[in-house]
Amino acid sequence: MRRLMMALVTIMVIFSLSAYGADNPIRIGGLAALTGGASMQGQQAREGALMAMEDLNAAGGVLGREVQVFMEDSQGVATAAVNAFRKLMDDRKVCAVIGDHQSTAVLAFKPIAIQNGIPVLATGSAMAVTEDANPWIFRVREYDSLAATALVNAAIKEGYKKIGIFHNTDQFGVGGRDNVIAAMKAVGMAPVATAGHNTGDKDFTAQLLSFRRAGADAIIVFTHNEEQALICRQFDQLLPGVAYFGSMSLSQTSTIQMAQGAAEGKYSATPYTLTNMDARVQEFAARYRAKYGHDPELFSVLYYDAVMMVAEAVKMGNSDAPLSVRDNLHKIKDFPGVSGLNYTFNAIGEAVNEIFIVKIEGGQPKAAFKIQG
Amino acid sequence: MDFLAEQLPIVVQQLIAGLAYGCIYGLVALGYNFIWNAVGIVNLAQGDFVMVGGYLYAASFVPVVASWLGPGSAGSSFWTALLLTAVGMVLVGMVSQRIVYYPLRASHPRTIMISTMALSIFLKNFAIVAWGTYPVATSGLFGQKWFRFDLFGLGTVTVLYQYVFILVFTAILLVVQSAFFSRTRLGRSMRAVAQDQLAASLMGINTPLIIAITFAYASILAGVAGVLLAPIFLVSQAMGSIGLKAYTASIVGGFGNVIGALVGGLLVGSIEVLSASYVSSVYKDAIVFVVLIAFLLLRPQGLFGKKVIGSL
Repeated sequence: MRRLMMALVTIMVIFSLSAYGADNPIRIGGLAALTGGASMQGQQAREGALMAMEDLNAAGGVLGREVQVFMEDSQGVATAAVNAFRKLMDDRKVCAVIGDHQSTAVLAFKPIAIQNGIPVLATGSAMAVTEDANPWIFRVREYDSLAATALVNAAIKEGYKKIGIFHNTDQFGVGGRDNVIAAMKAVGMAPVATAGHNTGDKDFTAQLLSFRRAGADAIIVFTHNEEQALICRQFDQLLPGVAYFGSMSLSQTSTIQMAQGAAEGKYSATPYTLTNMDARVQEFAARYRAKYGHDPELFSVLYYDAVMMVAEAVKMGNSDAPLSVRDNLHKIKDFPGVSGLNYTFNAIGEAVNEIFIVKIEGGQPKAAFKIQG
Repeated sequence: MDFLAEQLPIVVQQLIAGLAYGCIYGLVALGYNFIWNAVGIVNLAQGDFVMVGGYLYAASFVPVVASWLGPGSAGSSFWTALLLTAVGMVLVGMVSQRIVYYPLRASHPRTIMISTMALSIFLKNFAIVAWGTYPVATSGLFGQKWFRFDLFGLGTVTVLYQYVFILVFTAILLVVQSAFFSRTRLGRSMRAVAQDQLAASLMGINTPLIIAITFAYASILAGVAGVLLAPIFLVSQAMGSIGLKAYTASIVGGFGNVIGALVGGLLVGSIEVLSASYVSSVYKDAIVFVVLIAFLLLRPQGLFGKKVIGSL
């Protein structure tokens, strides 16, 4: 019995040594909705983050140590996101957390991250994520007012004067609506009609007809992929001759496929497009397709780039202590991402300050022009 | 008068969609009713059977059938895939009742309902594993094709061919179903079991088998609803939420009543689209459920049901 105890203790000591010894890995956390309504985007995020981990380890790791990326499921829900964040922080002991791609989730765990000193590279686009300029909070994505301003400018540039707003009633959609109204106000305009819908709605006849009654010549649609695709289809039936400007989700390959041709001729705004001929974008897309069998989307490249930036910050500071990672993230200058963007975090932690207006042609989002924030 | 003239095309436009959705709710509600009549429980996984049917059709069978038949055979691939989906749904219905209902058949109905709730959760998660998280788009017989007509010079109305197809298909299905229940031995046995299980088994009817067949038929109805909806909406996990609307249709029509299920479905579909337009597009689901609560409080037997005294 005694001998057995000795053996057990020895084994435990060996295991604890290996966990904290020389080959102790660099641990990076990722949050995304792997199940639930937003799981489509969540899976893209996961694929991107894991690919970054494999690339880093194939190149010999960071500081000679293995990189481990732990993806946890936020379900896109505030409570689940908080639990998942705590798991990453307490159990996985990660040095930084990437995500979530839903602002609602980010806002839920943000106070815990700040209190415990864990850098967060958020990929949700609501203004509230960075507006208090906390040094622990970064954003690796376009912010809502940038997309809203870009869409309004694009609509005006194309000569439309009676613009309607169609928005999801969640945090993202309502924020989008308010930003569009603000951007219109800045140029002395007001929307001719505003209508909302819920996540999971399938029939948009009533709202689309309300734009027809208001005489809109263009509508700006702030919502997520599945709803965006269905709205495109029903829009073509009900509002012939009206122009359509969709939020980022419309530029995604998956939305264009779901719309089954109805995305044609419509505009969207995105910091990432596969038609960007930048060699980094094309080279990554080819490798991603070979690995996963489908195109990378915005969240695939953002999570990939975010993991790479955390690794870079670890290298720069020669440490994976969260404080060192945070300070070195602030020092990163023009980090070249596979999204085609060069990232530098500004004073409030924003890294993406330019966006493409794309027009869907032949099933592809073709970059029409670029707008700087 | 001007107001009416302006609103008429809009109302007609919405009612066409509302009636098509209503048929779908009606089909799913029929499934609730058959199971209710046969074994006195509400199958809470009925809505998820719609999703499973949609996925079987759009993700599993359409691509396979299209590859057998080669491209450009949309028509024949639709019917073959529909048939395969029906066969698949028979299996789903039979297997689920064997696992979820049969071992508990002597328990309190509440216990069985919780068991069907577990089935619902299982199916939602099974769908993620089996078919992934991406919603699947499929084109069915007509794709997104539509026709437009001018309504008495007041405005244009756009109609998806799929809407018309849903209405016609449901009507034919109901005629076939009514012939099946009155003319065939199996149909009559199913009715006998629904009326009185004990008497039916004394008449030499294999009651457990008939109950299994009833489950299978209810899941075929849900599967067909999934196939009919797939081209208009997308096939995704969220499709299961249709179960709650169909349940409302059952309550409105009168639980257990066949005609009530269809009328209830059409009513719920119409209330849904019209309230979206004239009350609130954001609260249209809430409005449907307010109707559900109102019926439960004021007329629990529904429009066509008989008043029953007693409780679960």
